[in-house]
Amino acid sequence: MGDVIWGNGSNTLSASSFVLNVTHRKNGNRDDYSDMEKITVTSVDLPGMPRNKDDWTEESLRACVVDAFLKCEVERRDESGTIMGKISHSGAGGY
Amino acid sequence: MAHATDKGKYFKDSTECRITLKEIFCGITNPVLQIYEAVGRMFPDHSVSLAREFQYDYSQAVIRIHEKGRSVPVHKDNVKYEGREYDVSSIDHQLSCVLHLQESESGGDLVLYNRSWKKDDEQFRNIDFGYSRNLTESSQSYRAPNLEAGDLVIINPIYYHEVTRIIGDVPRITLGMFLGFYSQKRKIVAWA
Repeated sequence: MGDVIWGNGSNTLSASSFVLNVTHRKNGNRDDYSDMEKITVTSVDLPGMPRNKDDWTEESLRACVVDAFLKCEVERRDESGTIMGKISHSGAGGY
Repeated sequence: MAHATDKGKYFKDSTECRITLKEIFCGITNPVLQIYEAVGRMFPDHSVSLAREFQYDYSQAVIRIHEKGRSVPVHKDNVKYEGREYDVSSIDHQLSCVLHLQESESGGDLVLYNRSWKKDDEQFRNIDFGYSRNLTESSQSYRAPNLEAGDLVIINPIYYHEVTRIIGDVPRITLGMFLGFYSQKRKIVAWA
């Protein structure tokens, strides 16, 4: 199992990247994560967000991630320190 | 993958669920239909039907069996936020409808808080389900008293609610569904 972090999305940086305000970290994560991490999305499972990467826009990403509570399954960090990972809506509030 | 985004799996599971419910209620009046009739009497100028999307029926109901020690944390239900992939997210208003089939010996109480969900509340989310108790600790609350098998509880699920811990060996069993209101069309659709 890879590292997992959770938190609320804040501003978007592009059609596939945004800032995550990290609130929870999985016990046993191999790496450390700061309270604010830049994320590049490799794949998504988010209500309202197209599965096909070609259909992503900054607008659609903003509508789906800003303030939303998200789970990030970390794949790796790139050379600039940005996390590459899968983003999903974490559990559900009531569904 | 969650049902929230995997519609194909949701509608496939809904078909299987419909067959299971039919088997469970074989030989007696299906309580789902009785609920539709009761809701129709409450809103006589609205039609009441199972929600459909293209040719697919939504799930009629969900039966929940909560056993000893289980509780349901503070949460809200809001299809307009968490079910954006689905046509029912275009409703104007949502109600939650729960038929009590069996009560636990103790506990298992519904507690409703006088606080409705706002998007900013997402910072209080639990990792897996629901919200931190800190969110509702200063809100007035109402505990539904003395519920019995056969009671139908209807709430506005955008207000935070929870089910307290089940005590004793008898499980709490409920049949639940949501009602969605289309105000202009005077139409109510049900789904679970």
